Amino acid sequence: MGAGALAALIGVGAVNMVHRSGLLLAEAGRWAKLDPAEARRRTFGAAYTDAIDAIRRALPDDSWYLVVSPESSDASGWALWVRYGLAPRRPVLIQPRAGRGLRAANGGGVPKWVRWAVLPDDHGVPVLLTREEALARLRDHSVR
Amino acid sequence: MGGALIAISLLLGAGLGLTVCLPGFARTGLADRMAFAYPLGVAWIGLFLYAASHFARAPLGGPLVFLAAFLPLSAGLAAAIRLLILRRWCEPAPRAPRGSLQTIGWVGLSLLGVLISSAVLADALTHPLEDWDGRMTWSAQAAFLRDAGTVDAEVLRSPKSFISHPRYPLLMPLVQVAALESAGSDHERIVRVVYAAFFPALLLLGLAAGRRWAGSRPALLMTLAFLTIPWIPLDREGGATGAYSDLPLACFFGGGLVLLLRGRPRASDGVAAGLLLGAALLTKNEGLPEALIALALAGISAGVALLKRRRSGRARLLATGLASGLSLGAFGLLVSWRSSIPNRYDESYFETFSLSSFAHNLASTRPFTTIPILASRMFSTEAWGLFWWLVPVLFLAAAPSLRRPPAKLLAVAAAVPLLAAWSAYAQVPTATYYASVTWNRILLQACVPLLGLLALAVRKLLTLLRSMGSKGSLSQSPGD
Repeated sequence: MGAGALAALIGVGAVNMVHRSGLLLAEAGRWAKLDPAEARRRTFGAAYTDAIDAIRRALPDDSWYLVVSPESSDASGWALWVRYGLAPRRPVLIQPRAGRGLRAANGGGVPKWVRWAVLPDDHGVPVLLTREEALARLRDHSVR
Repeated sequence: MGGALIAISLLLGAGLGLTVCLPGFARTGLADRMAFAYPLGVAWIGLFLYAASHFARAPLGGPLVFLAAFLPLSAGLAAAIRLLILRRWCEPAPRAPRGSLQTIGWVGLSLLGVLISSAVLADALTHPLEDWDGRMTWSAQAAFLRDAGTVDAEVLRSPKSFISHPRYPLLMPLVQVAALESAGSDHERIVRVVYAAFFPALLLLGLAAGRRWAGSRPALLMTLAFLTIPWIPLDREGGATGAYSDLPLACFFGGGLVLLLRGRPRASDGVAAGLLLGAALLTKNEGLPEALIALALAGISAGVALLKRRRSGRARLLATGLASGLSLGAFGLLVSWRSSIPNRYDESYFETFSLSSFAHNLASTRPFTTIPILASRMFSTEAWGLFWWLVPVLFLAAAPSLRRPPAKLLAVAAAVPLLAAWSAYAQVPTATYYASVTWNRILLQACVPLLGLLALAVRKLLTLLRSMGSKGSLSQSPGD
């Protein structure tokens, strides 16, 4: 029984892994023709990738920015992916409070020394705004 | 591609240098040496950068990375030249001649291992980083450290900054920095290759462990069985095609365990194990209990050997002491580095921990609610193939005796990550969610001792088959 189990595990498993590795190699062969920027566009979407690249060009590496998650739990990871895309620029997470303005996600007010903010547009594409523009837009959304 | 090659050469070269310097590796063959070289190189460079940046305030950058690699490379080269001049280069012990079936098995294993490793590396070289934890924590932290030029980056210490898990240990982000600095690039594909290279390292480490604990043929069959698991090489959320820290941790914990549980370890095995276990506890929070159990098991086996007045007792004690000293140093570094980082955007397990609530939750039904999730993860043929369907059958047929020393120690070592996860599930209200996203990775962390147990079971199975064969031929012989 044990020998049969071992033989089946290795026999069936090896065929499966040859097949799956072959698929991965074939896909890698197709992707090898793409330059890194194009590979990112295909993976994350052209609009999103171009927006991240444009913000990277606009903000110096050592700048701070406010980032606003589209939902309170950030289950989609939107703010996480924006943070990764813009690193090493330094993020401060902002969460709207229902009818009571805005606050930094880990408590306290929105830091006044941060000049820039990154928000999602209606399609989840990040948009770079000044702090005042971003706060005004968020207040408008919360009033609506 | 060139940058990735430079980065891997730097890490592997540093590790090979260490294996030439450390006499414990003198009689090991190329495959065994390679099994330890990559994890050792990563561990050395990560520990060196961590300590130099935190304690000596040395700027994280190209010169420090090259200094970190230069030390073991030059020492290894000098040791190799000395050994060649003195004609003391030890060839590995000659192996018994292999039968044709066994040769086919080794060729098959090599081909399958190379195919899967090539697929993983090809994926890393052509696709951007897509996984959750890699982008949320490890690679984001690497970018912050590289920009700040220190492990004590202002962004980690500022309570306002949005950093996930800011107190997570940062050995692997530092290794990412080393890889990018050595290649002079910002390219995330280089980072992905660093993680992908841990798959062949784990494969060779499993093989080395199986050979030491069970012999060559059981190790061959066990490693073939290991190669049938799709999840470890191919999964982005924890496997070799992502940038999670669980695969490096499996190599550090498993490698340290293999070195410390040698029959008669040398002092240099203790040093190598200390580097690996120190790296383990600076790689993930789970590394601390895993390093502790590896040291405890080595200490117990040393104590037993001393009590029985075996000659190996003092050697084991010395190796365990050296490994403990290095691990303690790494733990001191972790505590010192963490002390000025305010925790935020984290589950805060340690801050909310109390022994009474821990015991209460552990006795509750909460962790048991995860059992269907754990079963669905393990019996997913997409993730684990037939591994968890058929390995229990193999153990039923030929369970290794727990009375024999390696089996007992390996069972405890394999159980620790699983029990740590179980007790963590007991503490969180969303236990089933945590189980669903962590269980496969916990199994990966425990895989070297699990593979050791599997190799022992295969050895017993082969012994049973041999004895059945000889009984069969004896019972047939009167009638022949």
